[in-house]
Amino acid sequence: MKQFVKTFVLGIGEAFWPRRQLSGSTQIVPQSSVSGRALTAVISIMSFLACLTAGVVYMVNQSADAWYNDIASEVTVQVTPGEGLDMDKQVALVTSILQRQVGISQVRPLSLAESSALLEPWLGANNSLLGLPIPRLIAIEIDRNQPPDLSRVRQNLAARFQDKVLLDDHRHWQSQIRSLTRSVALAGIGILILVATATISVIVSAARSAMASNHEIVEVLHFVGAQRKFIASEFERHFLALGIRSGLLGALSAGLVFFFAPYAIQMLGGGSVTASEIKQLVGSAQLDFFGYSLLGLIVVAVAGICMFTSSYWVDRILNTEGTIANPNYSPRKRFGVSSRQAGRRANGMMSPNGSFAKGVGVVLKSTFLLFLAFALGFVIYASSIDRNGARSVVQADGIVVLTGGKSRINKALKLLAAGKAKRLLISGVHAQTSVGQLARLFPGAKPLFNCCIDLGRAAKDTIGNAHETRSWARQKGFGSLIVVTSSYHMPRAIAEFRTVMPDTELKAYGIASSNVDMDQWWSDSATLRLLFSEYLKYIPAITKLGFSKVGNLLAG
Amino acid sequence: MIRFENVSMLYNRGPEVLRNVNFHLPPGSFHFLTGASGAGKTTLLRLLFMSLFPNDGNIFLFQKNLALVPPEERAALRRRIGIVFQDFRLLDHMTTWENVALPLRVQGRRESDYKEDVTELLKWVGLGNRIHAYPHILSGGEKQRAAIARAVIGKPELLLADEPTGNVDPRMARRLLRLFIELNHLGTSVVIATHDHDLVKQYNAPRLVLADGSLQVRA
Repeated sequence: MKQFVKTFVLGIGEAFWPRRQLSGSTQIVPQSSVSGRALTAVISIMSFLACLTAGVVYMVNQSADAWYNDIASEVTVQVTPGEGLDMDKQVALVTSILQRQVGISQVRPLSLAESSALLEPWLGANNSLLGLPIPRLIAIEIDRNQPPDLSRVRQNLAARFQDKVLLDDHRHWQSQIRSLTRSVALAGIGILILVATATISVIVSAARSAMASNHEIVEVLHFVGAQRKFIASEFERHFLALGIRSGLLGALSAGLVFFFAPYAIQMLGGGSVTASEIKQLVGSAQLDFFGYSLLGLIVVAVAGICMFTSSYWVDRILNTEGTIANPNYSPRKRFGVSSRQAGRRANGMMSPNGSFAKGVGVVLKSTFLLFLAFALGFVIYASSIDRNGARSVVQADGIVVLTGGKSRINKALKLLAAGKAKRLLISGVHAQTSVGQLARLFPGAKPLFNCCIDLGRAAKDTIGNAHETRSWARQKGFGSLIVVTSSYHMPRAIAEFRTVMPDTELKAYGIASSNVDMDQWWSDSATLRLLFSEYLKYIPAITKLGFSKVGNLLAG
Repeated sequence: MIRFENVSMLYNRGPEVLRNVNFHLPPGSFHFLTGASGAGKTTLLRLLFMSLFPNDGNIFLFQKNLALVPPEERAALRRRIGIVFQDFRLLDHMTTWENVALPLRVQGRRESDYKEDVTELLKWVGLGNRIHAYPHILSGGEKQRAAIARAVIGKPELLLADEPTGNVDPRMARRLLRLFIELNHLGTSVVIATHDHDLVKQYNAPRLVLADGSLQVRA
């Protein structure tokens, strides 16, 4: 611990006063033999890229939060014109109704001139617009502390004005913004992982070169009785100083970029985009205190990577040489072998890394890589699930809905009613549930139950659903199917269906579940649990599908 | 002080450099280690210094079996040994003074505690006017004396010297031998590996003679 603190303090000192000898005597391992200009430049560039990425992600998140709050606190009501309708009276009536609703802090109807102005970018500025039946807008500001029940407001307006008055809560835009920030954050994390990996690789290589080029110094240090920790600290200190210097250089450069970016864009844009316009679009376009603190964190991370990576490799090199450069080599203790074997190993005649040690290393590395792949796979799986559910689907021969929620069957009935397919199979129905009982649950679809719906009662799980559907599709002679189930369940369902019926064309129609928060899946524990259990089932399903495809290929 | 019990040593799959070597050196002794080039003199010194480990047999140093010394204790054991290499092994980027002070510096001692000792020792070996000189401007003899000073600055109980007179003229060789004898009189055990018969003749000390992998002790 004492040695670590000493290395840390000396490393920080060396970073700021590289030429000055803090202890008054010459450095045992010359700094120039460890961190040359080229290495400093490479690590500085890595730090610069990491800071730039982190800063951009932070800025986008900040701006997106501002956009999101703006959009979330405002709702628009559109009053569409009708024949013989006095629009001013209609707008005034809707305004008075809205003003009486709880949770609405301000209602502001846009005048005809303001509505026309909104259309100017598309239709141009002319008075002829005044004669056209232009929809009128009413801007509503929501009391965020006591938000109104918008679905009830929408129902009330629909009950009174039918489709002449529409309420738009900008949900679509909110979803778009969330999607944008999520994509930027994921891309940013990806870039940061790449930068960290590249930095670690560069430091590993530099640590090896430093040890090789200072081999004589290391030997001399050994035979004058230096402890391994002392030797390692001589190198670690230089790498820590390198990390701090390069990190600061990168962070300062990135900080300058963020500081001057709006002005640079303005200059490059030839004056067509002003700095204040950029500020309106992307917030301040400059980092705040926390943003700059983030750059400081990157400096700490880069310095830490440099120090700990070099520490690990210097330690490793000192431990595996097996000669004078290896004060910690204890052959008998390490291998528990006879003195003859110990001597042979110590003198490099036998590998110090015996087959057992190598085997353990391979197992550990493989386990780590598998775990990494598993974790990464889960993130990709969870991110790829359709958040909003399917909007449309093309025509198919049949529809199959997997039981597990009323909304699934409801959507499937709507698709059947819309003529998207000839027949519907409800797969996984309880053995004692009758057609009559189901028809009573969906009273509007009674005629459909009489003509075009089949119930499958054999399936107990998704694999059962697939087999049941295959039998049904074969019996009816269907070559294409629309599969209806929850969005989070869709990847596994499709994998199981493709394994069982590789020749049938499958079209996914996912339903967004109300109890699953896909926008914040990583922070909602219930959603996380559900997705993880689904992922655990998805892996064998997709593996089975892979084997089945290879089998089909080999079978010709 | 030093005991070899049936020590055998070979490099890779080559012939045995040392074969069943047995000897014992008491504390405060002075020995020459002689033998033709390639007889295994340097190998024997490296075994003593834990730079190599024997293929068979046991080496006892300061009453400890070297193969059983825990890794963390090896540096402490090496601090009780001074070693002089034929090629000096001085660090080129450090002054003579800094090279000689290195063993004390790696022990974590304050410079103010040993500043005078190092300067005095350098004067004693005749390098008082070369304190601030870097190794590349020192002559062979001066480098050898600086290397010896570095080996003895920590007051070792055992001094191992590998061909210490190999790079100097006969006059300087005699002077260095006198230095080793003085150190021995101060209580340090000395083992000098050399194939310089003239040097061996100058001082009446027992010889460890290496030939064909075997070792004989001759009075």
